[in-house]
Amino acid sequence: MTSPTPALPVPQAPPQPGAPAPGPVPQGAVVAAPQPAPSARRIADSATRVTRLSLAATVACLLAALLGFLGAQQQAGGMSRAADGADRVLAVMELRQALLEADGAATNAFLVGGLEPLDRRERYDEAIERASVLVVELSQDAGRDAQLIAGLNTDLATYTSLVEAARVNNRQGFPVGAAYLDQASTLVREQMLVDLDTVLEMAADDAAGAFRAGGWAALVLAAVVVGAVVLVLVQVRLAAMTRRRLNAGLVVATLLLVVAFVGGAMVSLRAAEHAADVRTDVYRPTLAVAQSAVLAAEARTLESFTLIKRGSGAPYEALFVERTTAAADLLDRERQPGQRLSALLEDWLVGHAEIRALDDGGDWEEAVELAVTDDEGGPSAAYAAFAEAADVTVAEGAAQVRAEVGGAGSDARRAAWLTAAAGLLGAVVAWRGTAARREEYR
Amino acid sequence: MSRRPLRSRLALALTTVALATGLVACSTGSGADDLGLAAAPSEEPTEEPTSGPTAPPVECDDALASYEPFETQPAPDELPAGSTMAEIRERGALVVGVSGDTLLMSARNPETGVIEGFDIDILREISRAIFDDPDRLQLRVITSAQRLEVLESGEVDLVARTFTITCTRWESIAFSAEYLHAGQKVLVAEGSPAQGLEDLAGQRVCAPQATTTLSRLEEYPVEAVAAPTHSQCLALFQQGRVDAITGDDTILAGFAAQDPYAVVVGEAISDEPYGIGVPAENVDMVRFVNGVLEELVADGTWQELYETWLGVLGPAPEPPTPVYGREP
Repeated sequence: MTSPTPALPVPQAPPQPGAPAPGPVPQGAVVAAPQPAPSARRIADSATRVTRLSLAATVACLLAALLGFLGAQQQAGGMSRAADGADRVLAVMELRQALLEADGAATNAFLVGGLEPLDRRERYDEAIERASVLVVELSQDAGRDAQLIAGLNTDLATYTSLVEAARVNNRQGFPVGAAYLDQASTLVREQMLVDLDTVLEMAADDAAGAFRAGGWAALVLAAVVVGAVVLVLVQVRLAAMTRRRLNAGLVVATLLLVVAFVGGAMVSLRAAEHAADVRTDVYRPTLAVAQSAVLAAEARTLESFTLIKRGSGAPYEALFVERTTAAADLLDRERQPGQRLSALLEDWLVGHAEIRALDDGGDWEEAVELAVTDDEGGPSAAYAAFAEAADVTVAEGAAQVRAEVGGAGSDARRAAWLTAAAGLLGAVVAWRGTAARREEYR
Repeated sequence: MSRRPLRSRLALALTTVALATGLVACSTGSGADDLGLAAAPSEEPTEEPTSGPTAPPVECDDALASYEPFETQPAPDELPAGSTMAEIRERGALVVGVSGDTLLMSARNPETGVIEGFDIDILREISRAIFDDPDRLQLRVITSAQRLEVLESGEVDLVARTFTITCTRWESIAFSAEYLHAGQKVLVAEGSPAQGLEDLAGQRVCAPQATTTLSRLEEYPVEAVAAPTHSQCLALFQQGRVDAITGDDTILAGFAAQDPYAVVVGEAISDEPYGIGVPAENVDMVRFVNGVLEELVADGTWQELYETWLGVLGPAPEPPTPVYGREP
């Protein structure tokens, strides 16, 4: 189309770029030097050219099939790894929350005094059970985090035994129970949560890497488009050589690549786009909610400590504020589920402010009373409402990520097979369609 | 058709592909981006000052000398106007720094959640002297290491927390007259042949941070292990992570009461005169507290409290004789 190129004398064109493109070699040869037997030579040249052109068409189709297939398969694999990775990230967060809930229940029960209330004991047991199951799950497909997870498993056993020691001593009225509880809590906060943060980062990086597999869609697109372009070029050259307008085989092969373009490359592209959208619109908000729930669970334990450290809880209150502010910020960033959860979080913070007001006003007993009550409208109930709502949101988000990213993966896989089939068939048709032309020059 | 336009066409096609490739929804970003991580690293409160061995002890001859009580101890409703006591009464609560886990002296009863012990009862008597009501205490649980700082900052009115009177501490705060005499001993596992620190060469001996107890360990050939609180020492002892605990006999008695396999051995290696800590500038408060302590001894309340809480140490000794003569 760019015709205003200087009308050079035909020869000495720079070598053509691109591998299987029809080579200009024969023409160059024609002008290069006077040939002894031009006509015989010409026929031989033309035969080579036709063979080369049909080879080019066939190889282009084969490459479109192969690269398209591999690209879309890579993409599909990436999507399913992304879905698994997202699950793992959320599982790590769930484990973090389970640990914090167990610790929160244990410390809060300590605050109550006397025999541990049954419902708090049950809450602790339930959280520990969840944590153990999650550790086992995480260890099953552990990679570079295997050692950390093994360590967490051991720590979890140590933690429960420390809490048991605290309990046994508490029941006998021995203050050393508090020392054991302190050790247990320290283990969670200074060892286990730190390790879990590392595991979380690894899982999030793995998931992020898998999401990047959407980029393979570009290969599918490039392979199919280049294949189709080559086919068109071959037809144009062949038409010029043979003075036949259309070659049925090549036309069909081109149509097949168009099919591969629509049903393969475009589907693969859309799948990649969809997965990227899910990542920003569902995965990230879900992570944000899960994280705010984790921060709130941590703050909940800190709330108990502000009271346990009777009068010396100021540093814990500072941390409480830090954690809950971070949680609120995360929720504010996500408009969709955020608003409702923000309101629930705010309810709890109002209750917490009341506890602090009582304690700071010197009425520690009343503050504890308010902190441990399970009455509706109390801070504990408000926290539970937030935690429950966050759980539901996270579970829904996780399911949606899995379904949609999994769906994108299936689409990519279908695209892979369709591209492969269309490309292979195209190769066969192109080769056979040009057979007659090759015969002519033999 | 010449080669040129063909080549251009191919080039154009390739450009298109390249453009499309650029437009492909290639989902970028790291794991940290997904997690929205920009938050500050979490830090736990360091509730203990990480001070090493403190400055060399200040020497003086009259560590035990406190300020003389008023000639006549003022009654709760006749507290001198403008005095520290009147201010406290005005405020409605006596703010005190105490231990939460020193059994017998001041520990939270896990059954009731109430902090109780010898130190607490002494403080209740001071509350009675100010408010005519023993229950006007506002307790702040502090660690041994926090005792000086809460007095220096004026956060509390008094500290009663197995607080040994020393010349060094007199530099920054004031003390009441001695109200209980303790001595440092050693707690070991039952059946241990050790009879004192000198028999524990090379073994791990636990003591709480920033206490006279810990600094005294330097004089013995033992491996000193510092714990945040004394109760943590007992937990470490029960876990086999230390071989012995050293501390005042009053505190160790509380440990032995919690662990049937622990015994307190030997003679006291030190004198630990306990006083009630008061902010240095509140001389009137010191005088007032000394007046209360004298009354407790005079009317037999002191002996009663000793027997109630520290009877395990043997029959009540003579109460310490107060020494005065310090001038502000």
